[in-house]
Amino acid sequence: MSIFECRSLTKYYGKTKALDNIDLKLEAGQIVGLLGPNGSGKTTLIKLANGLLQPAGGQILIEGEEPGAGTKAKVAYLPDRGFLPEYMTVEALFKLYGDFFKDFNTKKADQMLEGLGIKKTDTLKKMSKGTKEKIQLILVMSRDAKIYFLDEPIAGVDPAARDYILRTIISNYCENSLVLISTHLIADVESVLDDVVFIKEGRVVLHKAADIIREEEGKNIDGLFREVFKC
Amino acid sequence: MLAQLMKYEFKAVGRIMLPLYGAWLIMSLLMGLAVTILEKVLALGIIIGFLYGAVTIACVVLTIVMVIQRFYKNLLGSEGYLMFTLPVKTANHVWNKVISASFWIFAGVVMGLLSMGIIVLFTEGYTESFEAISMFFKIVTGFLGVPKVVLLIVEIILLALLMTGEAALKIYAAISLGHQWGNHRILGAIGAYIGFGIVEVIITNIIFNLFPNMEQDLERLFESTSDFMEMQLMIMVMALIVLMLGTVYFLVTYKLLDRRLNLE
Repeated sequence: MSIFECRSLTKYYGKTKALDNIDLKLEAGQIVGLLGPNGSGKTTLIKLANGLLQPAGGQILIEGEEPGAGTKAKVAYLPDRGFLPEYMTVEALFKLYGDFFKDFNTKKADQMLEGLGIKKTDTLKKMSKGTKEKIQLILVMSRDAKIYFLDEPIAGVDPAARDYILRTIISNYCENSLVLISTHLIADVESVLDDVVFIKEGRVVLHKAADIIREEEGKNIDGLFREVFKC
Repeated sequence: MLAQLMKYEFKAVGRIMLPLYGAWLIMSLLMGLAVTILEKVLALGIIIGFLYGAVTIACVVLTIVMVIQRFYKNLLGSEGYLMFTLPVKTANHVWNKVISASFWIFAGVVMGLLSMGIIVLFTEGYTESFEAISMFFKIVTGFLGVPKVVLLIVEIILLALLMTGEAALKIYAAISLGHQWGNHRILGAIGAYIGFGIVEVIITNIIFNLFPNMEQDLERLFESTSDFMEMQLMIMVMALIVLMLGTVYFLVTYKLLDRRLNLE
């Protein structure tokens, strides 16, 4: 059984088809890039996996189970937007994650926070956009989850913060878990990806190992992306 | 997990309402002073009276706003991305909001009584006011006996809590239904709320039409029993109706959030 599976997954927004009959199987123990331009269906797919949207047809399965309280306990999710209450302090957020997620590792979170120069008593309201995103990432990556869904984790931050975020992801995910990173900034994430899924207009157009792409196509993923999604 | 949800809910609402309650109590004290000592300084009295009124209105309005916002923003806004990815059953989210809404509305009423009590304490005739209240209780307990009066008070409080819970659920059901309506979610929610009211009236009419003699039957039933039993019956009937409506609105909210959640 794959750790993550979509079977004929379809989703509409009104009359617009956001996901069109997607079949996808992802295995544990790898970092997968969900790559596609804006509006290709990346966020929709991840929201469906987290139960924030309901499919119009087909199934989405986490370890064989449809999204629900059971899957949420083992899935760590970083949305593409600010999703934490602004009035809360870092300390209170750590406590909240610890209260609800058994796999939240406070020690790990404290370690990640070190060296960032953020006070635990600061509220999110006081922080810059980049700092907020780091806090969100720390909360998500401090969990020993089975799957990490990271939706655009590096969009909207400066290159130095991008490096910090990618380093944090690589050095903190559990080795037998699945990390799914959605992004359109291919060049930045290319080096960390084991597996690549191209998604275009709601359809999976390619699903291959990163090494094989480089070998077969003779070009890097960024190059292939530019070719496939040529405007 | 419900207990955890409630803990965070209490903190989220409390950080707004508790300071406001503090301000309300302080303004009540000042208002009491204004009524007596500052009677002669009219201008100051007017200002304090105005401020007291403002805090009172703020408490009432914010309580209602909180009931709506804590559902709309916390569950269906961007914070919903956190709430609905916690490993919590959807029913617990709904229970959490209902219990919180009932609690804060009830707390608001208690604070209102307290505020009035404080102001009355400052007036010259406050002993008379309290005597009147204790006299009222003496007469009632004289009629019914202490146990029955206690029972009635408990029943009325429970009924009031049920009614606030039902009122909140009706709002939640309307918001959840409105949320299905793509780009006009607030309009949809208001429409749904009005719609619920209309459906309630229609169903009441149908029931009265099905049992045309119900009113007379009930009157006869009430006349045949003692005043106490009449009150018991009335409370029971009201509780039953509120409970039924509350159950329907709970199920509507629950099903929509559980099966048809589509966060923007």
